[in-house]
Amino acid sequence: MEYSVEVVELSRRSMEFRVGDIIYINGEVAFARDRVHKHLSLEREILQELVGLPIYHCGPIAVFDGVKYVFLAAGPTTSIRMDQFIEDIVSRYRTPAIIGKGGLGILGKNALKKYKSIYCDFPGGASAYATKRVKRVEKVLFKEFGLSEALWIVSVREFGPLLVTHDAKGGDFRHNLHLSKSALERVLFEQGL
Amino acid sequence: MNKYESILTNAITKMATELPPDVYSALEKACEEETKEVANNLLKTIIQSIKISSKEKLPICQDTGLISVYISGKYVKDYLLIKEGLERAISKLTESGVLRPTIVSPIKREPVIGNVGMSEPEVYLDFEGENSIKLMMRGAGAENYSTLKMLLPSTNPHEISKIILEQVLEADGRICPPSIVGVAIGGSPISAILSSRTALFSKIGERSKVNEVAEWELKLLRAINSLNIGSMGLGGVYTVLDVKIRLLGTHIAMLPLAITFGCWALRRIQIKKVGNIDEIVW
Repeated sequence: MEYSVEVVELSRRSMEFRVGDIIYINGEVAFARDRVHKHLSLEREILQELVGLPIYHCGPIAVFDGVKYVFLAAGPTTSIRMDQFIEDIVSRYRTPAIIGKGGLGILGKNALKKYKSIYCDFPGGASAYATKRVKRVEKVLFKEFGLSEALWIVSVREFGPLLVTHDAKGGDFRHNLHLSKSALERVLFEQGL
Repeated sequence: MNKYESILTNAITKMATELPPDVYSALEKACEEETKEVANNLLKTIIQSIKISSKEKLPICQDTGLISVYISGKYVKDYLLIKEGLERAISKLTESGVLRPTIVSPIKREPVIGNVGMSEPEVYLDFEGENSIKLMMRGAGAENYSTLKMLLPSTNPHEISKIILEQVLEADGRICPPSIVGVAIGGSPISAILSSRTALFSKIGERSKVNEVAEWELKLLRAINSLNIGSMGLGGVYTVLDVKIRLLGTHIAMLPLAITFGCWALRRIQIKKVGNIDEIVW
């Protein structure tokens, strides 16, 4: 299925989405990566700006044009590095979706199931494509971490294609998708290796 | 202005915003031939993104990585000038947004301003090579799965192939497949890692001159592409675009194996002397 969804609707509709679905989202999204995740998990006071927003794992290339920040590149970063922080953040911030690349580990997947949230893959490296779906940068927080590691609150329009790879029921698009290590001897034999 | 600053600025800009033609063609071919719908759609989006990047001079990927530079032949005598020009070019391009402020100190994780400092960028010298300055951007997605294993000298080619496949499985979609794999067998820990990386300068489809090695490359390529890792690890027939193998003389008691991955956004470029003029070539 393909959906175009308002960010504010994501949470209420989270059980509708299944692995393999494509979603385009509209509204405010938080762009953040390693340092913000670590910081938020240590900081107990709730950051109001982040409550209810999807989090996109991204350290954009941002430049200040004299009036506002604009993104020149905004592809996803590898989500597994943030896995250990997902439960803490999703539970406290009611994060309706995590977006990134590569999927989460067992900790993150369990947290999504527990709090009925989803994970979506954005096409890796499609940086320019992503910038075209950014309407404007609303706010930047934690600039002291450097612009690549800051927390960006961003308005997006039809942001996607987001492929649902972990759904709120615990479904995992990647489950048993690849050959496993036990199949390697056969693969090598077939190629005469 | 230092004479190398402007040509390095142009070379790095081109490297950051355009994909080498051989890599682009290989991606297009992968997109045409990919039978899995998810992977096919991913590749279409990726190709669209590359087109926007080169048209609007936007970075292909926000991870502009660590820049490594290989100075060879007659250029080596200009090392100090090149290094100075390089550092200025990188600082300025970081300011203008062609490069992301990516480099930090290792423990405190504090930004290294302008991506220059604490031994970055990394520069290698080779007096004997052809006259060229080669540059490559190394993004962390791929680099985090680059590895060095010190094997027992008795390890056979079958076992080496298996270790390479295991590393590909371990890396999964995190190295942004369809990727390019550089392998070096032998040498020292340092020369192996370096050679597995510089192997990525060789064009997609270019085979080793040693027949046996060329055959091994192709067999590994087919083996990896049968793992169904696919584009971004979401399944598909194209997990890698190419495999490069380099053999290096080594110690009787050693067998280093180095593997370096390149994401699909393999950003590399070179400056060469054409007559007396420095020119940017792919």
